[in-house]
Amino acid sequence: MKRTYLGEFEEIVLLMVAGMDGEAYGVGITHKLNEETDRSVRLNQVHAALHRLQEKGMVASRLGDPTPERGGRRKLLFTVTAYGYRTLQEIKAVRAQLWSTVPITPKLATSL
Amino acid sequence: MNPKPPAGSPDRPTPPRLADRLLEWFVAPHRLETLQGDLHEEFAYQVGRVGEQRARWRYWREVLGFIRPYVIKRKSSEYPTPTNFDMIRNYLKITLRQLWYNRMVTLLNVLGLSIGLATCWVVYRMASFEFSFNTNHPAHDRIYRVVSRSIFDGKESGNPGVPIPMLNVIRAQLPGADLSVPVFEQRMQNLQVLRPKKGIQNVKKPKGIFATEPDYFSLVSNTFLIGSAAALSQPYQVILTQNRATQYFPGMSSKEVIGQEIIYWDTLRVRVAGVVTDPPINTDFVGHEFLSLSSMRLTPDVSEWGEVSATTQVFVRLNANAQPSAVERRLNALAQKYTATIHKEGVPFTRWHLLQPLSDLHFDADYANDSRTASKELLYGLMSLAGFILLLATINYVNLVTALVPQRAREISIRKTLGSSRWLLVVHFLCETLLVVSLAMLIAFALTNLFFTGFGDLLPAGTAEYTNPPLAISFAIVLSLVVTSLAGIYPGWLIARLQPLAGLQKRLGIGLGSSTLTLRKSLIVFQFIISQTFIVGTLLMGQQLRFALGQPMGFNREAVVLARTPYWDYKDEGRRFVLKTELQKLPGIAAISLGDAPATDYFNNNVWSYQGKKGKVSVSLYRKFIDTDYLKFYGIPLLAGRNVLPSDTIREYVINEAAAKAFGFKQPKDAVGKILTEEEGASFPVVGVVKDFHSQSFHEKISPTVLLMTKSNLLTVNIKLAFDKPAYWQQTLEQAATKWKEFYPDEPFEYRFYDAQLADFYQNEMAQSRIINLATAVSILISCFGLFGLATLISTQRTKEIGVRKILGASVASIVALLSKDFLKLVLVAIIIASPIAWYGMHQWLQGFAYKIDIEWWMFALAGVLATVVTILTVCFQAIKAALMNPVKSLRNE
Repeated sequence: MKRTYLGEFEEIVLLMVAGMDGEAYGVGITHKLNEETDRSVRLNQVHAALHRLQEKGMVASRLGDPTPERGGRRKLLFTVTAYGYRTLQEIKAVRAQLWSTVPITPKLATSL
Repeated sequence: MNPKPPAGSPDRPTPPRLADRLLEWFVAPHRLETLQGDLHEEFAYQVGRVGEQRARWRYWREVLGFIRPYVIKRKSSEYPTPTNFDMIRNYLKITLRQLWYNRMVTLLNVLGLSIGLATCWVVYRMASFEFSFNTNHPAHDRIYRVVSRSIFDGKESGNPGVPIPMLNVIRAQLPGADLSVPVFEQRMQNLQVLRPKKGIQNVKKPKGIFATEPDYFSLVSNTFLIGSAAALSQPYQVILTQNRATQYFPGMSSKEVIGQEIIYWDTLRVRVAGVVTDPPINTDFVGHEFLSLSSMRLTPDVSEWGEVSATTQVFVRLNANAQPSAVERRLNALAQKYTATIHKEGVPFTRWHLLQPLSDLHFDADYANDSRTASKELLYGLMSLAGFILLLATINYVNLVTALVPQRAREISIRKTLGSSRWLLVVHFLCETLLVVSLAMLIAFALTNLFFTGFGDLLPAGTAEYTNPPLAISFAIVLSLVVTSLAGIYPGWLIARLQPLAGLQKRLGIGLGSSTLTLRKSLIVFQFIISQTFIVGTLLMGQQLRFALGQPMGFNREAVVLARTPYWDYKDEGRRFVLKTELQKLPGIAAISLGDAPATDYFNNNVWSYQGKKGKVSVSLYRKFIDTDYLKFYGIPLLAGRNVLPSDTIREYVINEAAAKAFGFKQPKDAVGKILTEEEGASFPVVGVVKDFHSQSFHEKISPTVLLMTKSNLLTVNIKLAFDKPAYWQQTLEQAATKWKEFYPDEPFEYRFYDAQLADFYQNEMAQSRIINLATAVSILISCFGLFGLATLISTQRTKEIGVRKILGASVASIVALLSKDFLKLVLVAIIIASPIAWYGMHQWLQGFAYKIDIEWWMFALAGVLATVVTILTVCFQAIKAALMNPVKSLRNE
């Protein structure tokens, strides 16, 4: 079975979309990402990731309401699709599986 | 996007306008709203966080960061938005389907047009070649040849040469000519090339040797490979063309050729001083060896003003502002002054000079000399011929396509209903025509190549080699466009005019009206007028040529072979008479005679006078030198008196009937014994009168002729081969050649059958006849293509009618008659119209002959029958096919 590849950034964005529960949009995701992951992400990067996710069918979009600071323009709101959600779960499961093999105190490289 | 609606406080900072503009320009419309919204929201947020200035910077960075393919790419519309390309593809597809669906008509059209176009192309090749002659000279429009015209014995004739002293007079006393170049042709039997280490090499009868001066090379387009024109100002220098240099000195480079030596006339030793490029194929300046004029040591005497030779030509280049007519007047005044000094005796002789423009050099046969000239009339004739043939093919196209319009009516009506403009329909149709024409053009090129291999000898030499790509391409394009518009305009207009309602209801006959039919009919009539004229022309020309070649000429010419002894031998008549006796001994030779052949393409005349009772009668007589065997040899009967007696010089005359009449003798025998006096010469008696014979082609009337014997003038050997043994002719001729070698070891035995030589009189007419035959075949072919196509279309369109008729009891014959009748009527009308036209044309053509056939009514009848038969054959095939069709089938197909 063909597995869809998700980049690390895409995965985070997808998680954000899932976490924001239907209210995710470009600026919102960017701000939240900047706050929570301590990265400096720019709007166009997020947009690009959202575009790719939509192409892969993991998010769906709809138009939201206009707000004054947007100059009366509507938002493009994203929701995770069932396929996207399942993918996230699969990734999580794989990670958990892998984590389970890691000893509690693994041997760490000493030299740099 | 729209400017922002008022929101919040009026002094709220706004994002950079320019960046916004940029964004609006590159972002796909369907993404713009949400994307710009996000950006603005972010901007407002950043203003609060880092201040307006930095927010603006960030805004710019964000905008630029969005320049990505997925943002720019426009959403494909749910409905296709056809581009021009799509429409063209659609048109092309429809066109190809249409052409394929009516493939028979397409085939006929393409074939017909390709034949027409090929004809045009061949004529174009020929005309472009001929008209390109002498155009590659620098300043060719200012170059003139000084030519002479004279009236002698009532006949005006031209000569390309001038008296030699004129050159110096032009130089010294003729303002307006900034360059005057002597081009004096030198003829010789032999020259010797001194090849290093290989000794002397003899070259027989070299051609293209001219004595000239350095200025020659500023007149022509030859360029120097080595050396310079200045060398010709010194005596004993020669400049060769590349071709000549490799011929004389094979295997030597141009550099090595310099300084080699050539001996002319056994005594004049000259040195090669330069090598130039070969003359192009389209020039009449065909010199290959240029000898410096000063080597000739010409010291023209004033007496030479009286002599004009075609070999002494002078070219002048006029100043840019000189008037040719003024220069000509001045030139004639000068010539008059000098000629007057030597022509005091009142000889009936006038001569004057003209400046012949370089552009006429190739076309004026009056001054042709040895060079080939082209006839402009012939070229224009061929052009109109090609035009007519192409017109025939175009008419086919118009007729067939118009006949197809009803079949296409539905398509056209739908297009119109869907909003296609008339203009667009016409353009579409014209493009369809262009496609057919282009296809025909491609085939025409192939046909042209076939023609060049099959009929290349009809074209002047060099036509196939001459190319001029820019001109050829523009001609091909213009020709295609002209044919396309001629062929496509009318059907296109018809299509544009079509009423969509009538088209959809299939009420076409009404929709198209009867004017179409009349036009189609007149076009067919026109086609057949042309074909019919050609047929009559072919028949009559063939008749006349057969007449000219087959009619008795007043002498026997069967199995006669002529050979000319070398002219340098004219003093040694003894040798010729020994040769005659030697040849006589050969068993295969029935008779032999020395003398000018009875009918020749050259002539030699002078004026004789007779002092009778009624006064002096002067007659210009053709002069033929004969020996005693001549009359018997050619079977020319004596009407009175006797044959000439052997004599070394003229002692007596034999004249022909025409001459006797011209001097005023009622009966041939009256002339015998009368004394004739040659102009500025001696007087001798007439001893015999012979029956008239043709001394020239049938173009000329039988002229008064005098036969006389002077041994030294008998240069042609007339050999009659044993008539009953053609199988041995070749053997006999070989024996004769061996004998000939004993007498003239260096001269080849060049013989010609007299019949072939006589046929050469009509070379022009034979070429014309071949061209007309070809044109006839092509025009009949094309017209038949058209008829065949129309007959097919009409019989399919009338399938139902034929079915009904058959059910009601019509016989096959009556249906065939019904279908053929319409066409036959048209052809008959064409025959009636064409006959007077053909009569007039052929009458004009026959005026060129003094002896000609009568134009008789049966020739027109025969041509008419031919055209009718061809029509019936063409039409009947389809008509019978339609008539034999089972009515059950034709009526069922609904």
